[in-house]
Amino acid sequence: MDRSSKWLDVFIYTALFLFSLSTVLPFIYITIVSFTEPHEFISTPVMLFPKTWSLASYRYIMSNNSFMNSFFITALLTIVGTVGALLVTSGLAYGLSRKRLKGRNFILTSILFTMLFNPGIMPNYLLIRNLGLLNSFWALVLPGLATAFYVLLMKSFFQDVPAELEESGKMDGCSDVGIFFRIILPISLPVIAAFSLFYGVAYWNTYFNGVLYINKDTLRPLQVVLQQMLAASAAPPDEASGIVIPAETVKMAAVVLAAVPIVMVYPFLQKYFVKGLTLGSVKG
Amino acid sequence: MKKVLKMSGLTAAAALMLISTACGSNKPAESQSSTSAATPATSAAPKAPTEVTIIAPTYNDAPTNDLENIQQLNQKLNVKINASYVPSNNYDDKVNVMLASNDLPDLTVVWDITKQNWTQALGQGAFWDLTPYLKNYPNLSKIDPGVYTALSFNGKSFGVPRVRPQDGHESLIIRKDWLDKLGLQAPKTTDEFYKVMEAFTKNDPDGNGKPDTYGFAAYATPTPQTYLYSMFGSSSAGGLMQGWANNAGQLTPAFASPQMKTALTYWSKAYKDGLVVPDYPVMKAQQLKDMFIQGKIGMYIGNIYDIYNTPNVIKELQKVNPKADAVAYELPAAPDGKRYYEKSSGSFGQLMISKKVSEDKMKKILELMDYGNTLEGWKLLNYGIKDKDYTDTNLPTIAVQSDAAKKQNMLPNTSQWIPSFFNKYARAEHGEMSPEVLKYDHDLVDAISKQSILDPATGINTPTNAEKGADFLKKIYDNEINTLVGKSSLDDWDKFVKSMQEDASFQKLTKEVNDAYKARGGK
Repeated sequence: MDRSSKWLDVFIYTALFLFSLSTVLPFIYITIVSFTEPHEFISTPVMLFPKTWSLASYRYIMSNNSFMNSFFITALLTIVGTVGALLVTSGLAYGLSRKRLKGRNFILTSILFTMLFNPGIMPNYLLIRNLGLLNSFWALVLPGLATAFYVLLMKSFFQDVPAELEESGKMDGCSDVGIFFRIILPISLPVIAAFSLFYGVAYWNTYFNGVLYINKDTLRPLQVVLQQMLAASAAPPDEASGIVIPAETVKMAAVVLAAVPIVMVYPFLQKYFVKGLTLGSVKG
Repeated sequence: MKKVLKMSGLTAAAALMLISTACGSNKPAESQSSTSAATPATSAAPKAPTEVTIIAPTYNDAPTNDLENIQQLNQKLNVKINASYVPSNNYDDKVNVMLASNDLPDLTVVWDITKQNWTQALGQGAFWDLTPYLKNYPNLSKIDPGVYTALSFNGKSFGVPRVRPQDGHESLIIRKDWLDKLGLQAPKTTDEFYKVMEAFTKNDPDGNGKPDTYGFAAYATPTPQTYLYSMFGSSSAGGLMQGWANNAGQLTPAFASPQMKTALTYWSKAYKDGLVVPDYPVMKAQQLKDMFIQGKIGMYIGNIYDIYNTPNVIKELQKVNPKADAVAYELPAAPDGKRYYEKSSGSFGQLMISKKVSEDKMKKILELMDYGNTLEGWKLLNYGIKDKDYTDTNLPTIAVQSDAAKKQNMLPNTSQWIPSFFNKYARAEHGEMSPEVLKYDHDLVDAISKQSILDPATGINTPTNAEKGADFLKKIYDNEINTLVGKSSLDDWDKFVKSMQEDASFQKLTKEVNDAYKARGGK
């Protein structure tokens, strides 16, 4: 009995180890390739360690005139967008979680509606254009401020907050806004952390809105600039004259640059992450 | 139903309003610039430069409009260029949105006007009909009429072609040292070609004792390389329904031709025998050259200058094997003894002028286009300033750009929005070629251009195609690929061709193509 369970453990651990390895390896491989000498990669595309470590691919990307600028834009966008999105989403969700809000069902239905029926690119573009937001930083911030699904998740979390807490705040003469900021938000940190990661990733990865709404070089998000550098690979084969096709290693370096900041933030938020997601869904 | 939809629209709008006002109220929206609102140009006083707004695709970083070569152009023509660039992979999305919202700038690079939204916009008169004006511009009127015809809509020219060479994109690139090592000649017929593929696969041409080479590679992503079929004389050219064959004045789709079946029989056998890279269905164009450099394949079909265009294949190969060599050859002859090449339409999209532009300004833009079709104008926008950004070589059309100029992303983006200088040999020239190779490659282009065939349906568009063409094409591609890799049999292919020919919509499309062809004076 004992022995068999021990073997079972060994088997399970081995299986899990292999499984995690298969998910991690691609990332390791991409990172390794991005540090490879571009010419070397062409001759030996499969390797675990490059013969010569090289920063050539990163230099190539960094040498791009607009790289630093777009990096800054995207960083700012991520910070402003995430903070804004958390305020808007949590505010909206908290309001909707209180039964005494008038027209609550109508608003809820409206939000649900945007989840079920996506208007598509055109109406969004026209909306942004008619608001006069084309070519402005806010064109990238505003559309992502509230994701319907997250609002509903947060709402169900806030509904589980005991009403007594709110009442105690009322007793001490606190307004609704005060209760929200002083009582509700501090006890909802796990949820806030989880959603800040979601929003942060979404803003960091801003790409398509950057293509659609921005025509100014100074406002291009990082992902658009990275994509521009790789676009040459998609050039029609007989059109490639004079286009310098970036090496495979450059693509990998772009992937690393695009993913690393988010990967770095994740460990700090992970402890809230699991907790926060399930809190809203299960009463207990 | 209508009512419900109306209501739902309102609700969605209300929700959006809520969401956007939720933050708009407590944050002052700042720097709301809207440069894209195109105001109708008033007839500017003479001397004031005409501002020209442009949208064009980019294949790398977007160049600024302050580049010295743009400034020179501005001074020379008294214009003010205001170009914006979109990454090529999302160019269509962006331009479609701008088209639908009537936001297009003065000048737009349009890749394919046969798509439905463009035919619609053209039908509604969103762009200038340039037909009456083109003859006043010496260089634009020199462009081959066939190139204009291929791009015309209802017999009228709505754009200036971005001219491209018609031949030289299709040559058989072979590892010369492998041929020599195995004592073979460059294949002249499809049978010889098969033998060379076999030898390159099975006889260890790289001499490493491992069976790790393939005779040939082709790509099928995003669309299959049509040369594999057209070299057998099916006359497919990747255009409307992959091209058409002219049977005594009747156009029939190339995929239904007997030559197509011959080609599929040939290639599916080669695939089954393991002579073609097994990844064929997911291979991309760029990978062919990479695999060639890695010494995994011995042959592929590509541009003549591919061997020298960055990365230089011979140099890369010689890093590993000093004896390595690669040469571009003519394609092998089909079983009927003739060589078949696809002639390109001579353009890659066109430059269209928005109808919002006044007539005077439109003429100014055409003047700009005319200059962009001269060698001088093309060099200025493609390479930059002479002796500062580039140095001339002994070939008039080839220049060597300085690294500083490359860093400013001049090449090839600022030349995306001009017609370019027409150079028949552009696909066969490169700065690093020796005079002997250059002469050989020029002769190769000359030989090919004598034999290449233009798809008779080039430039024809029909309502049924705009509506259903994409679905038909997808079916054709899928069946081609599946037959080639042996997923479906040749009998299945016959069944597929038959089902297409019996499809009412496809019959309609065929009729429309033939009518348009006859209306154009085709025989």
